[in-house]
Amino acid sequence: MADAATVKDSKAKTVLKTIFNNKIILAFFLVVLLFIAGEIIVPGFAKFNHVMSVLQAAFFLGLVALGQTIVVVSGKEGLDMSVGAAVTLGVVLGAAIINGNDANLLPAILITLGSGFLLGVVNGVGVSILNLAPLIMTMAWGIVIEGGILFIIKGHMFGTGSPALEFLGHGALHLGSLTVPSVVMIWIVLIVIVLFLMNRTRPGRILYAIGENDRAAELLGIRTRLVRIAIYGISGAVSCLSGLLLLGFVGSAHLNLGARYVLPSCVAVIIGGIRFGGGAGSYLGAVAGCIFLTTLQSILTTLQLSEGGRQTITGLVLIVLLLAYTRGSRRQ
Amino acid sequence: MTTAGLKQKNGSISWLQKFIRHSAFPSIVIFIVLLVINASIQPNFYSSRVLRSNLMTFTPFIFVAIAQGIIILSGSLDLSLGSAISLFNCLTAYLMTDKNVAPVLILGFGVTVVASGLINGYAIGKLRMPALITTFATSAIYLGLAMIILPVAGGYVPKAFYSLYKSSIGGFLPFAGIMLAAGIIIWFIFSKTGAYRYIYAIGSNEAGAYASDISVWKTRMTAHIFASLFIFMAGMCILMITSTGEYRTGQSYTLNSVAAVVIGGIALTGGKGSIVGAIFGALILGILNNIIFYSGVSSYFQIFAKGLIIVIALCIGAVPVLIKQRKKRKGGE
Repeated sequence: MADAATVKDSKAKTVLKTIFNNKIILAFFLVVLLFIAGEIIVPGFAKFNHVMSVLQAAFFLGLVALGQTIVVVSGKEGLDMSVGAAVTLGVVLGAAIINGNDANLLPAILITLGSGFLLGVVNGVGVSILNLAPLIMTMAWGIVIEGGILFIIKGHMFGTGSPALEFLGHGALHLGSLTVPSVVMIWIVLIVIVLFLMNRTRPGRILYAIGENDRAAELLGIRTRLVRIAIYGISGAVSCLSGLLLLGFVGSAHLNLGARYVLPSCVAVIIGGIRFGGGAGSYLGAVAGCIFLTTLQSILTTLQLSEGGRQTITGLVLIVLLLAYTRGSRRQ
Repeated sequence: MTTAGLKQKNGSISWLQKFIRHSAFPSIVIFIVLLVINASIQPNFYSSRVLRSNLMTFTPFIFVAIAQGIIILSGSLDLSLGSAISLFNCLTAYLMTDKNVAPVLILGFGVTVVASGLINGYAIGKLRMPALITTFATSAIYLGLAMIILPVAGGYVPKAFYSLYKSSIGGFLPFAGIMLAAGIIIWFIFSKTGAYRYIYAIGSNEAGAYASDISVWKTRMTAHIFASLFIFMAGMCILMITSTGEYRTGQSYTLNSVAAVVIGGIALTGGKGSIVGAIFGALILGILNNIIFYSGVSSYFQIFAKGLIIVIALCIGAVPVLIKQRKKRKGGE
């Protein structure tokens, strides 16, 4: 009897410990806290429809953060700073190809995915073959892409979205008084697929393997360089797709849409507990991070903080989390 | 040549070979080639006016390259350098009046040392936070603060102060040149100290340096603090060039400084290379900018071309490391 009690006791302890050590649960807990704080500041902040609108805005960051997640998990100090340029490319390409015609939607999706992938592949080559620091390589390449876009369109945006794209980006399903945005449904499906792929399939295991130990993975017969190039390619592709959908959400295209996704996508990954050394972390954590950041932005906007204030606070949040997480990992 | 050959037979290496084997040698060669191209494109390249204007634009480039070079040699990295310059720029332009130039500059100096030197140095050195992401985060904070101080371009910089940069002392000694010379002399003196050797030591072999009783975190922090002095000098030059405050001012310097350091033959992993290379790397980037400008392409293309040049430079910098790794692998197998 006594034995059983101690076993039960230690089990309860381990459950508590896993909750505290589990960054994903912690991140969702932070999100709930933020919503409570928001409700206190602005009554109605935590209502269903407003929560949905926050989630709707978070989706686009969530898609970018998906790319960021796999890049970070793949290790070697992986980081993709060209996601902003990829988003801008998606916006510009989407507007130019669709140009108001629904029939062009599918080609636009395929072309943005393809060109985003190519953009990422260059990053991948720089990182895995030339051994350049990912941060530097992707940052420089992002500047090239942004400069290239500017050079080609010469500052004039061309084309618009179409009704179907606008429904994808901005539409919603109305169930009585409840509104469920279409992107939120897309996101839920996406999360399920990504979690399945990352945890239950061979490509997912390969991703974690090369992040954990590149050399060991190579010795197991995994072509690590090729895999890493593909990972950066996928990151570029999903960011570019995010840009296309963003065009549907915002309605009109402008050039600075991408830049505001770079820093938040990195912060979201950190909040989600995805280790910067690679090899560990779940997309679910990044999702929590994206919702956290978008909620924070929403509160800061209602407080009417300037762009600079928001930038400063985002940076401070990043520093505090970095400090907490690097301390935590050192203790282990 | 014969004496060089003789010396080599005796076992010592001649100065010529030493020069060729130096990590800065490729950058010096590239610099000379580009200089010739630039001189053939830019009209009146050798006139004193053009030389002086080149000197004026190159000086801050060289300062940020020295700063980034010292930080990278210590095995760290500073991506907040550009934002720190922006913060300095906005703060000083916001506070300056005709009468308080010196106190405002001292305040700006203090802010730069705290932001770039103490905060980054302490976080990376003592708290052992990853340099890349940490300075990326502080970069957001400094830029945010700069945006809060001056949301739109403006502020005031007294003419008596900023025209100093264009002036010459005694009619022939350009002020920018004096600043550059002062900076290089400061670096030269510092390079003869023990602290400078420690920076190389912790950059190339941290565990070994620790084992031989070098305080790693103090040394790394010293590198950041010393570099912040050069960031301040760069900020001052830029303030005098633009003669206004704007939060975008410093942004391009971050990546440019890293590119200059890499072109100059300093390894991003730390501990290998020399500041002389970084200086030539900065000169190369400056001259490339000149060449792009005078080749008469559109301004949109210039942004694109500059980015592309940095990517190409990074790739070229990566090649020697790649060859070494190949050799190692072959040797290992």
